[in-house]
Amino acid sequence: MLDQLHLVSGSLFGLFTFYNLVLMLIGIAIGLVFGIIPGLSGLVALTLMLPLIYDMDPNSALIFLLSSHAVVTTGGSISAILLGIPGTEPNAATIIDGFPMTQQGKGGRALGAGLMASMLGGFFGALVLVFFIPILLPIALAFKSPELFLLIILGLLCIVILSKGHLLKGILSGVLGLIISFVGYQGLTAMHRFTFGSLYLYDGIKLVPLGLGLFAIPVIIDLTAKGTIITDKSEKNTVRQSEVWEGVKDVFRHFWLFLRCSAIGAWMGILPGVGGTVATFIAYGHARATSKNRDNFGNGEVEGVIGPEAANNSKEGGALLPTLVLGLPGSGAMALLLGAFMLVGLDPGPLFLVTHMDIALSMIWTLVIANIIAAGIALLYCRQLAKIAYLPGHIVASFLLTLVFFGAYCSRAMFLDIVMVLVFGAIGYGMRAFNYNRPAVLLGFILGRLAEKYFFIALKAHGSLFLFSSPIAVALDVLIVLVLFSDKLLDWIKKKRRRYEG
Amino acid sequence: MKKMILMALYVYLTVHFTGSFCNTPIAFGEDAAQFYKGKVVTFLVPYTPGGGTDAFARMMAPFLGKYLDATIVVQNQPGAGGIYAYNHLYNMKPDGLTMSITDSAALILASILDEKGVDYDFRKFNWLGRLSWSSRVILVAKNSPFRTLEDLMKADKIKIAGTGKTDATSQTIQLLFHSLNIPPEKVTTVLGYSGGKEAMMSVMQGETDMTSLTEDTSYGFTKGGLVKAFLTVDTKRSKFFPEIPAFYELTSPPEERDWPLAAFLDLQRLRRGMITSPNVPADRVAFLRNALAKSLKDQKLLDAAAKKKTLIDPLTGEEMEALIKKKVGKLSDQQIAEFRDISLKKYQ
Repeated sequence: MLDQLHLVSGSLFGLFTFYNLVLMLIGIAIGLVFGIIPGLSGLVALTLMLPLIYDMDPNSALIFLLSSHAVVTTGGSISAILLGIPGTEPNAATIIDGFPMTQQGKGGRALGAGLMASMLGGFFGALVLVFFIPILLPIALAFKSPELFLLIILGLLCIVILSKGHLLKGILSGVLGLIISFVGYQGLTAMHRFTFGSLYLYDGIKLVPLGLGLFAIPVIIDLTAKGTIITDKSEKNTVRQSEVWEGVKDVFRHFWLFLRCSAIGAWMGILPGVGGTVATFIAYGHARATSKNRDNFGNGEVEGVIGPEAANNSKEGGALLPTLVLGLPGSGAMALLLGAFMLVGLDPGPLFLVTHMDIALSMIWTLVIANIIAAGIALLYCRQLAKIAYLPGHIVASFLLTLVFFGAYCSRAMFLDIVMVLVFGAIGYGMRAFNYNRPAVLLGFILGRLAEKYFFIALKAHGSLFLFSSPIAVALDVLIVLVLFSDKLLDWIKKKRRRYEG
Repeated sequence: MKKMILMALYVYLTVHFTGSFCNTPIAFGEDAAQFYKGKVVTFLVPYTPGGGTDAFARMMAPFLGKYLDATIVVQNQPGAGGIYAYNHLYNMKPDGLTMSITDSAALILASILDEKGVDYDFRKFNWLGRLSWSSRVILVAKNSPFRTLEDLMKADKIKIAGTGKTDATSQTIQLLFHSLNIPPEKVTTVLGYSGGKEAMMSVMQGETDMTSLTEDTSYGFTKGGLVKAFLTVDTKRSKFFPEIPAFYELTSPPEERDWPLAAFLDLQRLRRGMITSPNVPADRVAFLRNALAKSLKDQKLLDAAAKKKTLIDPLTGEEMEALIKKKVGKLSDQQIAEFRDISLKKYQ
């Protein structure tokens, strides 16, 4: 334990170089702004930041990205509470009680509670990571290629099944991602796949144009088409500092609730594909179910703000766990983060913790410190920050468009990358219009290559029965079958019960 | 007045920057030093950022810039084990404004083994010099049953971890097995790990039995205690592992079985080098070689390398070219065919 503390504190000094701190502050600013502006998600922020990390050392690059990603929902809670619009999707649950509080003139208290819960939730997520570190190495060592392959399949399945909307559309989106990942030269078999003789495609489709196209271009089209993001400026948000303090204290009055909701968030983060929105609504539901003031929920109850906001930020710590230990991302944002690992030359996967414990620890510290700084900034300047949401859409759009093309071109200085952004932009816009699952494309893209790699290795190293090569593998097989038939199984149980009752 | 000053500044800056970024070669009558002065020279790294080769290139770039009196831009162009970048450089306008760091052994092997996608003839590149080389060490798990060469000979089943067919991670061990006359049916080569580190991880997990990495990389991993060095595949012991025997200390296999391994080890001696496109004017090649040689002797670079525990062992461009001619040139077509058979088929 002492060794661990030593490591953890050592990594803190690595984090506190001037350069890294500046990067972190920039990352936090980007995260807050993208969180506050409705429609601009953390994913868009990450895709835009991705091209900037090429020349950074891995540690700085991940600090930069993670500090932005960790605080997006903190920014989002400002819009949710003061304006009644979710800054990011997961903040939707905060509105239910946060916005009524504002309308009752208790906006300051709601903000104080929300931001404090966000900050401590971020803390909680980081703690979960720290506590898992001692057992991470044995876990990583137990997961060989067959287990990793099965885990990827399980993860892809969960994402598809848990994705909102149409099941078939979810599957198709994932498959599209898989196919995109197959483009290029396959070194193992010395095959050219889907390259059509083009030298550009020889090297495969890159994450940066894919991400920018899928996520940033549709937002830009929207912003230009709709003009302003929020037209209604009538809301008067009066925030008094004393009230904010009262809200901060609320979190400690309901500390037990805060802890439970943070735990829910962290757990939901670990599960692949569950996503932030589900996590916050479950936390909200839990807060409501266990509260004494159950009936007041929906009319401005502070517990209804604390619950989802705690879960919101604690889930990032949880989500980092499978990403770091097994190299398996559970969400679109984590897939992008994993892509960033590869861009800066870190091998994601079980080995990461053996060779890069320092980076893992500095990521944990980033979670903690970024959350503190972001909550501090938000508490001090919430009123001014809320005005960002009123920025005219066309200004935001032109700014984003510049960033998109700049980023796409700069990453490799290839003109065709810009063409690719436009192609994927069209695909992304169409997918959103018809309710396809865009994060599933990203996951399919990242996981597809990994799945293929582990499949080849497992087949060669463990023979054709690799699916049953260890107890863990067998357990995963069973889980996959259960997930595949979960719908049918639930139906069957219901029917049985009905018959039993009847 | 203020506007005038701003305007003047603007014009000056525009001219200044277009001047420095514009790198069209107008070479007639200029000498090489004059040519490079103030130009932008692209320094390709055929691997992803963050790896050992990338770190080396980035460490060296400012020194090259100093001796060329040019701006060096390091650009990663990974893909197909470096082949993508080498193809790119080979087919480029021969102005000498782009060079690449190489894994020379891999570059040459891919070419003589006729790997798919190779679009270059390694003999035609202008070799600028060698930066470093390192012996390869075989790593096994901490509790591995393999302790001596006899254990290898007696084993029923050996799994080798590697990244790609023509990569030294597995090739070193395959050629060693050929030299020891270990029958192919006892050996499985598991390929597809995305780097030496991952191959090492599979050894750690017990998924495979052994892999081979360079001595400096191996040293870092063995400190963790989960893997240990088994053998240095060379004539002399590695200074990182003075207690681990070198292969040729233990045995001297007959020439007719050992020549492929010996030829392979010769190539490994060239390992980290620098090249520029074919047909670059001779005076520019000479100038580049000279700048590289000076950079590699710069005390500041040596200090930086020592701090990072990075080996530097330079060879001039001329020496390197001569070495390639001598070592690769002596292989007959039949030998090359046999070599290809051993490293691509025998132990797969």
